[in-house]
Amino acid sequence: MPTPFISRVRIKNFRNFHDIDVELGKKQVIIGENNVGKSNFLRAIQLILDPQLNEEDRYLEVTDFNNGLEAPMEKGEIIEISIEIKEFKHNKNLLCQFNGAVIKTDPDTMRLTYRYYSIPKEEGGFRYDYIIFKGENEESEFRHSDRKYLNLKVIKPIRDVESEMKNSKKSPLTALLKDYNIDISDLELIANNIKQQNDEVLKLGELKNLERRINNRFLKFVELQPDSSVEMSTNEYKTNRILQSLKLMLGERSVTETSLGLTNILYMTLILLAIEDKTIIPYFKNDKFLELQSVDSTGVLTNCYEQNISGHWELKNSLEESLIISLYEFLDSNNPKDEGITLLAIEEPEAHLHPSIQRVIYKDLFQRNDASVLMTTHSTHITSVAPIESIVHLYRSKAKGTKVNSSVNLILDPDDIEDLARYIDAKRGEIYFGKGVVLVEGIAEEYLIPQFAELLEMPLDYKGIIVCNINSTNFEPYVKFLISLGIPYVVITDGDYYEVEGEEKKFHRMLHDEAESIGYYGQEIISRIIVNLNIIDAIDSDCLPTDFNELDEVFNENGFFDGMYTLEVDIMEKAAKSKGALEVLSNIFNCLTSGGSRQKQNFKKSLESGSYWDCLRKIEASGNNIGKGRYAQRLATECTVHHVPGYISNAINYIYQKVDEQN
Amino acid sequence: MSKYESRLLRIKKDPQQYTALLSKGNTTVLAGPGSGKTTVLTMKIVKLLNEDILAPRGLACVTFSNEAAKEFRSRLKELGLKKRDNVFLGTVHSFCISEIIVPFGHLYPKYNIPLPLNIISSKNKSTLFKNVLDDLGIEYEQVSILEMNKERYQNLNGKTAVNIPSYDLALRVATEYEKRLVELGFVDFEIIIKYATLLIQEEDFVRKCLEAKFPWILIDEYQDLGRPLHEMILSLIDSTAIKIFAVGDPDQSIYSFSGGIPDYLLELFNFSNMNKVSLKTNYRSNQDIVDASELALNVTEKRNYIAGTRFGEMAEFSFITCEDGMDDQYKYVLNTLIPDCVKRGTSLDEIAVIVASNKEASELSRLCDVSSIPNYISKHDFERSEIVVWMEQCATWVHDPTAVSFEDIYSFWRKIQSVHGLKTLKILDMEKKRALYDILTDSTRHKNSLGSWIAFILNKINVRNLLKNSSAYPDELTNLEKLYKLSIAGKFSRYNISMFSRLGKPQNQITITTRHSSKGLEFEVIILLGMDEERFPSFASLSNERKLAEEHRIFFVCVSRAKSNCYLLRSNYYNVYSKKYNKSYRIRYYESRFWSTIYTWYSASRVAPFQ
Repeated sequence: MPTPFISRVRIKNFRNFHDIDVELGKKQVIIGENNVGKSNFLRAIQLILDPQLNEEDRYLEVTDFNNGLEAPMEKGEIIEISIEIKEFKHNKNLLCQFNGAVIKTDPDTMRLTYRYYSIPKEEGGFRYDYIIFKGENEESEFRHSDRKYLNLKVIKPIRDVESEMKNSKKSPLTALLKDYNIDISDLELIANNIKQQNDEVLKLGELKNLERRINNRFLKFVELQPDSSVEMSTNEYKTNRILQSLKLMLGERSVTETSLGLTNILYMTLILLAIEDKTIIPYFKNDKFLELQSVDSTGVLTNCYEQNISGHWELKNSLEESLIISLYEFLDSNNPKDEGITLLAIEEPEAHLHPSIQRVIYKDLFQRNDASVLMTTHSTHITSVAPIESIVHLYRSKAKGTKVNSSVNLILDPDDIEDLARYIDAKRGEIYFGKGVVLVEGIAEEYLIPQFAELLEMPLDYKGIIVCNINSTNFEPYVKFLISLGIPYVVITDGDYYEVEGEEKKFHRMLHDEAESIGYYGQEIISRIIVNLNIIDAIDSDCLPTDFNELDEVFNENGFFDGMYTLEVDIMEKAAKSKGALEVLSNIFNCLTSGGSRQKQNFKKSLESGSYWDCLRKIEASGNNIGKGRYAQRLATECTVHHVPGYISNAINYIYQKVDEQN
Repeated sequence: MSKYESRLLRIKKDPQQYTALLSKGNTTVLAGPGSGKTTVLTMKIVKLLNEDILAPRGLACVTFSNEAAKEFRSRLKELGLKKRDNVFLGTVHSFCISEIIVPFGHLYPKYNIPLPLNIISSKNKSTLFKNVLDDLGIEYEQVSILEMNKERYQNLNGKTAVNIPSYDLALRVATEYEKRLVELGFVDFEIIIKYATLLIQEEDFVRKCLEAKFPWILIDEYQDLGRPLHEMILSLIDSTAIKIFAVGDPDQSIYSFSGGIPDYLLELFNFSNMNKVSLKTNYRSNQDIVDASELALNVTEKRNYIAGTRFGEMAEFSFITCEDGMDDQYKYVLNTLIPDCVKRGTSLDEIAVIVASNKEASELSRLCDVSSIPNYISKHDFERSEIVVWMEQCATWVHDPTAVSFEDIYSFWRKIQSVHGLKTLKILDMEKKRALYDILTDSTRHKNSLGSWIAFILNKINVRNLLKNSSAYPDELTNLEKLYKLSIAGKFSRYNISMFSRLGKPQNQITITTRHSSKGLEFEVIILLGMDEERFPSFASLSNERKLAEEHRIFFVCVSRAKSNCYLLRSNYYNVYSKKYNKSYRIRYYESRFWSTIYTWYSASRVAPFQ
């Protein structure tokens, strides 16, 4: 079912945004560090769509101008925010109210623009005013009444859910009940019955007795007047009170007595129900149903509803999409409602929720197709279940205020998307929270690179740089993803030197002068990524240098760093240049291996003779019970700068610089 | 009881009116003279908006003229209709601009609609037209601008099966004219309508939007609106769920010169899935008049109209033959008929003299002035444009602030300003509103003299500056100047603003009107001048069946204006000027066939008490 959603946001000069233009999808998770402007991003949209904001809120102040502007209101600078909305043409109310806002028909797209603009005063200086207009026509004003049909509801991060649930006017439960348009006469009947039942109490002798006593005393104080006797009565039951007095119970407890966590879940549940498009009605009384049925030539009603025991009609569960669409069309024409569409924005929905509950709720929210949601979050539990194409990344750039990127237009193979999603889920979305990302291919790098960075006095944590081990050399989707989000990255991969003998590539050899035809598999991988992703302007593989060193230079300029052989071998080769360092390596082997002293001797010999591949085989040999991971884990605690291969220190330098550039 | 309820009670007594009010689907209402079509239409609007159409969706009501829209607006206000969004009430022209071209034109660059619309002034239009004639080597007498305009719609695609003969010379002019108009980047009335028709016919999204906004479209005077509107409606009926409520009378179709013919309304009426309603009861005239007007129509199919008032009353027809030309007829009207009517107690408001042309109307009016007979000409030298109608509203408000809403007056003023690029800042809105309020309140001191009131208003709101070189209202400044001239030295020099505010209605004045302009009016007594064969019907119509039928309809319209009395005048001789010989000839004329038809019928039904 199509659902209206904000498909594009442009912001100029508002708060931390200098000039941004970002495309969005139906479900959007807005991420970014504290203070980067996530709330301001929502605020910009609120200026147009939030009915809760008042006229004064929409008159901005000098502090609302971007910091980069000097004396903005003296120079007559303008703040402009425009949003585009897609997928609304199925809803006649929206089409009716907003056809003047349409800027494109295929796909149907409307634009709303907020402009805080200046008008020169005769005596110098400027006067300011704002307009919100539909489409391209400034004369076509977007007014308060328009927000009845298209609005944004923002749920704040620190919310007093309890009091909102208790307050019968604000409670989403009241709103949901109201949607049913329950027949007043039904309620009146119930109210009368309650009154009658309650009145039974008055017949109790004790009450009669008390009434008499009060009257006796009272009449002594007042002059005897007609109608001045005192009577007991029960409460009047007003029909509207009946619905307002309803409350939800969790288990046996009323909501106010349960944990804040559960209350929050319940609150979110109600909110999500309350903002659903109300064209499709979940429940029809029989007479209304029959009335509609009489104009239903296609039988769509009968297909979609079933009669319950009391003879009324309930919407069936899990209907086919095509059926829902025809039902929507039918009801939109034959049972129109004076209602509109609410877009939902949730700020930090993780508040008060246990991580596992966060995952469950938001997985459901993301997978259900029928509501547009914007949310800001710091929760890795939420980002880890967010679809790959739903991320909006806000980050600072030195010169131009906050920048915004989104992954909505990311085009990837379905397989790659799945890989990426699985990776992000397994790693709980950590990739989103790095100010910079080091992509590596294995466990050894994952252990060692943070430590190497410490040794180089460029600690990664300090800059918020994260090492992501993707456990393969399929870097391409990750790089593409990070580029789309504007997150700085560096790729570190093995050189994988090989020699060609006849038709065959021989790996695991060391470079030597006699080798006639050699190559680096790592370089081939990187070349492919650079070409496929157009990382260098107008390049194709023919233009890449053929010289290995020159090629590396090109790679390094663009954030790709490859070693010579494989990480361990490169470490050994580096360590060989200073005596103590090699010893550290053999000591670790000795410590970890389950083999005897002979084996330890052999390892040392190989290491000292430069047979590094041999050493690596010994580390990996299953009989020794070590493995690359365990070896690297131990090495991480004992390594020194002398173990850090050059390409890794270059890579760390690179990402440090990139992150610095952005902050 | 509210006005709505009392009207409802009345409608319920007329089964046909009630059927029309209740109809749920596409409906065509054929409404004879005096059958209460405006009541039905306005009540239908109120009912739809209050009971059937839920906000934000609304409806569109298309009227023939700005005056009609104004009349509807005040009737709807009386019926208690609350203001709401997405309700359109106005002419076809403004419907096309504000509901189709402005919101959608820019979405479809392929139609090359020049936006913003730059409307050609009528002066420039006529220059362009003459240039085209010159360049094509066509004499000015051969094609008129009206004939050309009619041909402009020939190349519309569409669904109607109605075929009207084309005038090939005018079509050639039309093609060339339109080509040049487009090259110049201008638009005119005709091309605006064509663009709008095209957008509706070709673009599904446009139709969807219209359907969302207007679940109902109501059209008044369908028979006058011509082919483009008919095509729009056919296209909407065909491919949207919009319901059409069309009201009109094919027998009152008298605007063929601008493309209005009865066939379109009849085509619509005869659609298979159309609710067909015929309003047959005439609440204006007595049965004699009803019968006489049916004779005037000269059709084989009986209309079966029945008088719903003045039961048992007999009409009075008088046939007066003068000797020489129009002058003798004028004299007879002034010296005999009017004094007679007054003597018999008929108020001047209830008398109309119906003449052949605007020229005759002003001649007669001048003579009335000389004889001190208060008179009113329904057709003015200026146009009752949107802005003039707005000025009338202002005058109404000054005279009686409860009669119209100041809010409406202000919002139109704001619209006019913004159309001309004068944006109103929200923070200055109140200031501006108060300024207009003050001007209008201040203008009260000029209320006894229309001339000084208009001068005061035009100066204070500085409208001359605003409308200078206006591309949206290119003719408006000239139009206002004409109005102003009339108010200081012309017809309106003795008007106060209350009379101006009731411009559409005579105020203890006799009405002088052309036959065409008499449509929609009603009087106790009508006086028809120039009832001579070859004058009415005109010589040119005699050999053309279509034209002759239309002249019959014109006569039908004229007669059916009367409630009870009808005078027919003619002369034995007229001076006719011959261009060829540059000389006037005195020529003998004879009774019009219209005269004879009524005379025969009347003398048969009466004991001939007339001379």
